[in-house]
Amino acid sequence: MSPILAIDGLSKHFGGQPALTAIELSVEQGEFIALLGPSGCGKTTLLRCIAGFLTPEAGTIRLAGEDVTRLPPYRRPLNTVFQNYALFPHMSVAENVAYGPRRQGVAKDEATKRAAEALELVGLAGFGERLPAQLSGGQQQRVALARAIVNRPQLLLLDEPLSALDLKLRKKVQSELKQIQHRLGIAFLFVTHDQEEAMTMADRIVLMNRGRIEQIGRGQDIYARPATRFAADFIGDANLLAVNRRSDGSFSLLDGAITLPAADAPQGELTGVLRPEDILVTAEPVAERLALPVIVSDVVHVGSHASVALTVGGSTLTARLAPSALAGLSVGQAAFANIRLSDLRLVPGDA
Amino acid sequence: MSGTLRPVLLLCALPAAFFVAFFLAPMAVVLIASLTTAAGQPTFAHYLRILADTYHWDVLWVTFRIGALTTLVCVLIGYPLAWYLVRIVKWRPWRRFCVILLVVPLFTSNIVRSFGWMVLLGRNGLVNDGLIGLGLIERPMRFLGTELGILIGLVYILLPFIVLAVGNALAKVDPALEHASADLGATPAGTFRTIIFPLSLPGLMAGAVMVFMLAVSAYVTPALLSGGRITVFSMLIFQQYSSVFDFNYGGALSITMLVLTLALVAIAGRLSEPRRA
Repeated sequence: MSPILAIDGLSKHFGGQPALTAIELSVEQGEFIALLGPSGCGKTTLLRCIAGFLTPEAGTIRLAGEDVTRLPPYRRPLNTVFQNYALFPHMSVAENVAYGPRRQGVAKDEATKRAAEALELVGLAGFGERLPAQLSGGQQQRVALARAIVNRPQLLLLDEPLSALDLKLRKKVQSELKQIQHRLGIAFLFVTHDQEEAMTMADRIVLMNRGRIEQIGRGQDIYARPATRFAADFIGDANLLAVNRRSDGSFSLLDGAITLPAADAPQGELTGVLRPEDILVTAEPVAERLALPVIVSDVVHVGSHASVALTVGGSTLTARLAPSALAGLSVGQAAFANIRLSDLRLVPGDA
Repeated sequence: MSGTLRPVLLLCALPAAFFVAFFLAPMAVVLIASLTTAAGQPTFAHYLRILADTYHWDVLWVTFRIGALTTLVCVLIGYPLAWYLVRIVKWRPWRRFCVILLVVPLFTSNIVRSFGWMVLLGRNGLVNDGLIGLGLIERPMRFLGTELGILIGLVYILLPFIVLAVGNALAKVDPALEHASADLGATPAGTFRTIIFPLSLPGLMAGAVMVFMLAVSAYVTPALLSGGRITVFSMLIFQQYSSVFDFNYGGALSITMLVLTLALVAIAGRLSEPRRA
């Protein structure tokens, strides 16, 4: 089965400034993909290229095998949920949702019926006669979703659709969105800057930075095996350690406190990545781990766990401990940070 | 209580006094004059005289016809012009220049501009010279003293109102709505018909009503461009006040015109009203 969306070598500039560089992406039918990255990373630009509101300078976009790179938006078989919903203010909710089928040439009665079905699917049956301005933000968001799925596109683009909702409502809509996606079997391409949202909702995350894709993969895979320093830093918390390459090819971290053997590590600048939960802090060294002598410089309680700052020479490490593991640790005390070298990953990128 | 209320009342009194002095009082004077004889006795005689006089009805017909045509031409030229300024011009300095070009004539006197059109539209004026030069006509065309001449003058003077009203409405249409429409499969023409035009309609109506009211009540432009051959209603009123000195009959004419204009505007507003207000 061919992918529903295939992007090949896509590049886009704005006045000489590269906004997207050599984007390669393939989305399978029914997949839930999150486009994740900080603001200005190019994720919305990529979405707009796919929707047809921007024309890329290079590369191709294929939808279900058909090249749509140069097609205007209204000829592309996909739909979009816009960031601020973009509901037509002069039309009722039912008319808003029936707009898509009507433009496709569906007869009025049939379009009205499909609109009612779509509204029922998003839990807004009976709201058809209202105007968008008479609805709450969450309800408007559902209308935007109903309007976008009523034509049963094979691919749905969502441009930060939950960013205008408050936290509690957002959590609720997240799970509803996931259910609807599952039920319809439509591929979702979901733009967000919220890594937690991406982790909880998406089958795969496309992590973007400065107009490039840093890494594509399942959330837990990116977390466990970040491909770059940026990926390690953006997904979850990480201790990012400077790496010195010795003349014999081995690596030294934390001013020589840690030595890694010469390995087939990538060329160029490297960064050591160590997750805070992979550090055990104890008063005595733990067997089968590398025990680094440290000073406890700070303890911050965050409810379910505590964040402990440790000083090693001139560097600082952060460890995450369960509250029960804190017994006997106080600020200023000497302790040991016990790590496994297998938990320490070397990734490209300058620390 | 009264201590805090008093400054508020004082603040409200000023605009209220202004409103009474400049709008309500003159209106009342005209209305009362129209309902009384020269000696001050109440009467409906002036209105009966207007109703009975077919000449007045002919003039009213000419006036409203010119007003309606002026509005129509202003809409047909003004909407695309507003579209051009808001949607097509991307370079800000050029847009600003165009808007200034549009607004600056409003700062000059109607009389000066109407005289300008008299020169342009005359037998040997620029317009006739141009048309002959292009070979479109053989002999100079008559503009002065025709409804066409008055129409040209009024359209020129009133066009900015409709362009500004429509431009303002068009600028307020969220571009995201057009994206959403295109995303749902609407062609650019379909998007204009179903989204942009309906959303700009209130602005268009406001501009059209303004143009119509100003066109039917215009005096200077029709007076100068008619060359005495065409009479519009405002000239009749002017005659009563300035030549005949019959303020009562002039008042009745004014009120008649006001009522008819407002009635037409109300009907037009009702007809163009969206299904849901």
